[in-house]
Amino acid sequence: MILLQASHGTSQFPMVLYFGTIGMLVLTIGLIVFIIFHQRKVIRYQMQLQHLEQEQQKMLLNASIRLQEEERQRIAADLHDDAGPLLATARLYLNENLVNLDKTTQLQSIYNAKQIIDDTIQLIRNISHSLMPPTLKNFGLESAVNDLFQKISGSGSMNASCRFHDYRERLHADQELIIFRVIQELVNNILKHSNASFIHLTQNLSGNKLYIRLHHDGRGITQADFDKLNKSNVGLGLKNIQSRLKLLHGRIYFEKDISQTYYKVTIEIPRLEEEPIAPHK
Amino acid sequence: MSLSLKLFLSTYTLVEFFLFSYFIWLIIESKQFKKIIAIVSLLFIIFICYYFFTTKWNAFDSVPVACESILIFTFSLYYLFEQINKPRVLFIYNTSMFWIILGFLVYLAGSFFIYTFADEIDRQDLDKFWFITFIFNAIKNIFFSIAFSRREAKDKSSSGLSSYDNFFKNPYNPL
Repeated sequence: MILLQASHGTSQFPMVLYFGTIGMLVLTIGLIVFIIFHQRKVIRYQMQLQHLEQEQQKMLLNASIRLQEEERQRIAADLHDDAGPLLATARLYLNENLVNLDKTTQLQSIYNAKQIIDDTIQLIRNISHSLMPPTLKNFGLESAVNDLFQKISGSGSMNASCRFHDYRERLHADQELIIFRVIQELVNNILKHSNASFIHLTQNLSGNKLYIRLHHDGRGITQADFDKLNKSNVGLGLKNIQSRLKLLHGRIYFEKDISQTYYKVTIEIPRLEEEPIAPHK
Repeated sequence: MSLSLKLFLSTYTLVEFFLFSYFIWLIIESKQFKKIIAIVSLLFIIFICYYFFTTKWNAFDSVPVACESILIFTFSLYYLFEQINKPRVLFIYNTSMFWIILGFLVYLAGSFFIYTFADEIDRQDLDKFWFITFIFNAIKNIFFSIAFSRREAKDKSSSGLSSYDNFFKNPYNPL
């Protein structure tokens, strides 16, 4: 209204026009500057997030490489320290046959060599089973986990039980292996650090997601501890769990039960309909 | 005012509005807003026709031009807000579209008042201040030139985070 009234007086017109135009320009430029600065701020924030994520991923990658190296070293040590001397001893016994012509001694040394070779076969079988449990390959995750828990229970130090509620259809072999490794790592952590008297595992299927939950009554960690350990340089096993689950697009939650007596670890894995994970070459 | 001049000005406004709004229609991603642009454009054509046949002007079709300015201004601002809400790593001023939209905004904001009052003031006064529209027209063209001369920068947001993901696509990667 003021502008319109002012526009009726010819002398006022230039002022209205100038101020109006300048006002509009200032508004427009202000808006554009705001948009630019706002976007810069958002992008900077996004880049920081991305950087953090990259750092996290780098740590996970390092953890997985380290774990692989440790595994290789373990296998190398098993082969070098156990299988090597056993085979060397067997060779010695067999060599003895060449020098000693006494029939009884020869038979004795062949028998000893056979015993040692049997032990070596068992040792190599154990190494191979630790790399890929035959139960898992042949009978699936449920049997492999049952087997693992029976072994733990059998040791007498801890009561371990598991129950698969809905596992009629087996997952892809690679998925099963990854889940089994995660369970193994979690159980291993519980055995090592928690001082628990029992572990109980349950499996459920809800919609398109598979849930595996571990309960134990020892010392455990919460999600906050897990996140903290993941960001630090320690907790190699946990990082490895996370990188394995990342592969399955799965998630893991660490929490304390409402009763404050148990710790719970829940793994959530979506059932993949599309292509399975790359085959073992 | 002669009918032919009136027709020329109305057609000019209509074509200008159509070109500006069609351009924004092309670059906007929201389908809902595209529909809004189409509906508003249709209403604007009806309004221009109504205005042409029913209203007397002195020298300039100020009301349709003011409406056009407000509409294009709104469309342009919507485009900018759509752009800043997109998760991306590319700065908005690195895109050609930003400079074209900036040209629209500066031109419309700068000449809005003079176009709005053009029909109400004397011809002599109008001639005195008409140079303002030339200035903003020139600025708009400079911005357009910047836009046309820019080599389109590539948005890095889709480049993937790191080789880590690729590594984990194959769990048996030999490293």
